[in-house]
Amino acid sequence: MTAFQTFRGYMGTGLILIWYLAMVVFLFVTEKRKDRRILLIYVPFLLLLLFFNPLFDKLFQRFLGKEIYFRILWLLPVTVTLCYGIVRVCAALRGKKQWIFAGIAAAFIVISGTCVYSSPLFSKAENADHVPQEVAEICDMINLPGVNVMAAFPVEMIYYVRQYSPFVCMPYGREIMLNGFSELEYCMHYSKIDVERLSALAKEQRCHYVIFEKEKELIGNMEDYDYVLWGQVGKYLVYRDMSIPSYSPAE
Amino acid sequence: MIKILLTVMILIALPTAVGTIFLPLQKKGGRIVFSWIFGMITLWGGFQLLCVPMILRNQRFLQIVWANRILWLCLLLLAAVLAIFRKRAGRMEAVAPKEEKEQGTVPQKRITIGLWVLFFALFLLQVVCSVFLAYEEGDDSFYVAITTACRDDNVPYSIEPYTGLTTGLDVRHAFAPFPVWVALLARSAGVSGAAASHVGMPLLILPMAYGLLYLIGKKLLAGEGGKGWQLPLFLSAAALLVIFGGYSTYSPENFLLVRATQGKAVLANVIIPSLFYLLLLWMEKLEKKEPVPISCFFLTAIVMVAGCLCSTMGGMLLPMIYGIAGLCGVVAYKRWKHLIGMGCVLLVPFGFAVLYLLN
Repeated sequence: MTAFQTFRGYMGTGLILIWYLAMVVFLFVTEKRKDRRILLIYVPFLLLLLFFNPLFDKLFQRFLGKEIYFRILWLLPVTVTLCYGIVRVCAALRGKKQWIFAGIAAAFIVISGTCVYSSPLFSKAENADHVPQEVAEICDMINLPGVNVMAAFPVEMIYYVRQYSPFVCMPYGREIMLNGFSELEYCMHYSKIDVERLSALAKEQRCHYVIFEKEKELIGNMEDYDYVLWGQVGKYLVYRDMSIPSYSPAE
Repeated sequence: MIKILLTVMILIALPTAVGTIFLPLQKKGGRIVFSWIFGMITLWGGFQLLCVPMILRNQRFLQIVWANRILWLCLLLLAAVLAIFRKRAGRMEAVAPKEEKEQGTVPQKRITIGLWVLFFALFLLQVVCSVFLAYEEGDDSFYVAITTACRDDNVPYSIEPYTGLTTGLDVRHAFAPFPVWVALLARSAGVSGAAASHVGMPLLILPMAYGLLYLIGKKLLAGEGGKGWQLPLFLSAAALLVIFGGYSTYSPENFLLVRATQGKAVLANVIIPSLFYLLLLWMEKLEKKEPVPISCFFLTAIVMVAGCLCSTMGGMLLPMIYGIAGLCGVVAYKRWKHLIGMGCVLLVPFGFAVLYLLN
């Protein structure tokens, strides 16, 4: 990814950038104090020169990676410059004009931005730990005091399990979202679960528990492979493999 | 009740007391806010210097907790000694008298009150949302899992956070042990690691971020006639920008509202603005041809170290902006001796950056 692409990705629609540049130009023309000119105009300008410098870009990305190059743009005082500029323009206007401008500025911020809370990734917190209640209940159900347990969870739960309980270990974690599913996760992911295969893979990983949706169609009988139904939480069934003794995976 | 009191002590009283060490830098306006924010940053800086060597020596979390408590005590003692010393030396009198507030017209006063109400409404909205809304953030499964593992398991960076399996020491992430500090907060306050991360951290970081905007706004607008409506307008615009900061998933505003538990959000919204504020203080002194106290450089160095605690990128970003702004200041005001102070400030983050790159 080039510096230009990173910059475009960072600035989103670009309207905030236009707004920011307009304020920088306004301050360039009107700001008299040298210290503020340095911090709000010259330093950001030099920073952008460095950011778009192909040699710097290459060196940075080589030593630190491509994904985090955008963080250099955090050094631009965008919020401070915009807000300071808005106040300065308002102060320069007289009477009702200044409040009309303030209203336009607020409207422009709303239009050029996107409300963070409109993201579909937000949901009502179900508890103080901000993890799904089903995850919390399953972890409480399978936790043994002072002992680590290994459990294979469905993919939608793996983000939260270790946030909630340090004693519940998993044969796979978030890395499967980046590197591809493990064989065990694949086996659990299908609408039809081959119990024999699931049991072999789970035993190989020494899983004390396997958890999956009760909607899943089972090909085979879990009880035939040393499992007992340990409990049910919401739409999830929790099976315990009685052939694997409790132990700490650290051992 | 005891938990609440303890949390208030750790998050408000302790940093405010420690922050008085640097209070002479803030001559007027917002002294309590300054003291609280820079006190907390001082605690972070101290924690970083203490915690990284301990983690690298495979010390357990409880040992880090106890060492940090001793550090807290030492910093409190230092603050108390300095306060007594300053009182005896009469240096507290150097504090500038309170600014006389401009007597605006009645409509102007109403506008000022209205803008303050608007700002606090926008701020409260963010606080309430951070408590009652959960966000599905993939990186939390890494950072919060480290916090939870430390909080209950005593093994920083020796457990694979995604799976819980034992692994070798993760040296790369151990250089920025912010999740360990959150675990320390959780343990001291007696709450779970996840609750401290998802609820406690936004409740700490949001006021800090706005506190810094308040200080920056106050400083920038001080020369503008000090009209009462300017600061609340500045803060209201900032709050609106934060709420509508979803124009990019990379923006600091977005990080503030969805990733407040992660060190990188703290870097973007607290550490970088605090460095900006210190640069503003420094340049104002250069502009007014006033002497710059050594404590200004010392506090800047602490901000740099605290930046390294938040994110390994802190060790690169902060020296970069400090170097550029510092050089501009030195050249513009021809104060070449300040290069020595700047060099000393950059030593610690440079050391962390080298160690990070070597690993």
